[in-house]
Amino acid sequence: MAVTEQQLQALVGYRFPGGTVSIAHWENVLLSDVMGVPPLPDGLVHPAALFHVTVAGGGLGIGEIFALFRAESDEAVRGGEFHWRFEEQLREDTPYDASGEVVAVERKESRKLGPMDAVTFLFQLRDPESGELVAEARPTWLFLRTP
Amino acid sequence: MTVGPGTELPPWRVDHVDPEKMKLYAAIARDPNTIHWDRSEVARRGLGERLINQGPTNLGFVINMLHAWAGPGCVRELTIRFTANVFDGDTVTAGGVVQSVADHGGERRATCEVWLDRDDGTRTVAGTAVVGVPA
Repeated sequence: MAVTEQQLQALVGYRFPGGTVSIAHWENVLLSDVMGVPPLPDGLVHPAALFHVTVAGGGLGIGEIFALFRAESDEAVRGGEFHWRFEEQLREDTPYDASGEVVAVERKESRKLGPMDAVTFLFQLRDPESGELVAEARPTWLFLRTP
Repeated sequence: MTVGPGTELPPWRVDHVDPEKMKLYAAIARDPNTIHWDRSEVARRGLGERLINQGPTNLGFVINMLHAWAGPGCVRELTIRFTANVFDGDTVTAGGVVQSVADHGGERRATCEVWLDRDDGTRTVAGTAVVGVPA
């Protein structure tokens, strides 16, 4: 494996640039279509948005995160576990303060997928005025490695 | 709505996972992974001949099932693992069963085991959801 576990462990604590993010009506309409349902009432955003909105709000694209963890290819990354928490539902055209950080890296061997690095992130969306947490995502991505 | 341990959630079925929606989601999420939009790349990697659906979309099907049961805006927490792929053309069904019900800050919340299964019986998403339910 070209990248060492030590090199990856050094990224624990890395904080994403962060910023302000919102979900436009058109984006929610298209996302809802992907999910196979009409848009939710009253400007509610489909909760599945939490994945891409938190990543976008973190300030790095998926491709840039792949590069940060030295993915061997775009196809050598898998979703592992997701933990999502909603203190409030997301709403269209509403600004959120976004933050993200790397909270854990674990090198391990899967019987099915072989050697991999499991990287856990914590992304949060907060109300810009009150600072209260609106939603958070704690995903673990699996970076598959060639032995 | 009577909700208690053992209550089964009405299943949510997707008859045909649509490859065009994988492409649309890839654009929305800016996901560069070719396994969602290039069949030749899927085949080259020995993953079969069909496109592979994005994990958040599979989770979205589970959320649709929860919304249909307890109403839009009901989802409080989700903890899930992706255990197998969903491919274009698959039929998948989201399901769930209530494990427990408790009050949380004046709201009644149900903790449910949830899943998404392919029609060949393979479980692709497995985990728990906490949802607000009517008192």
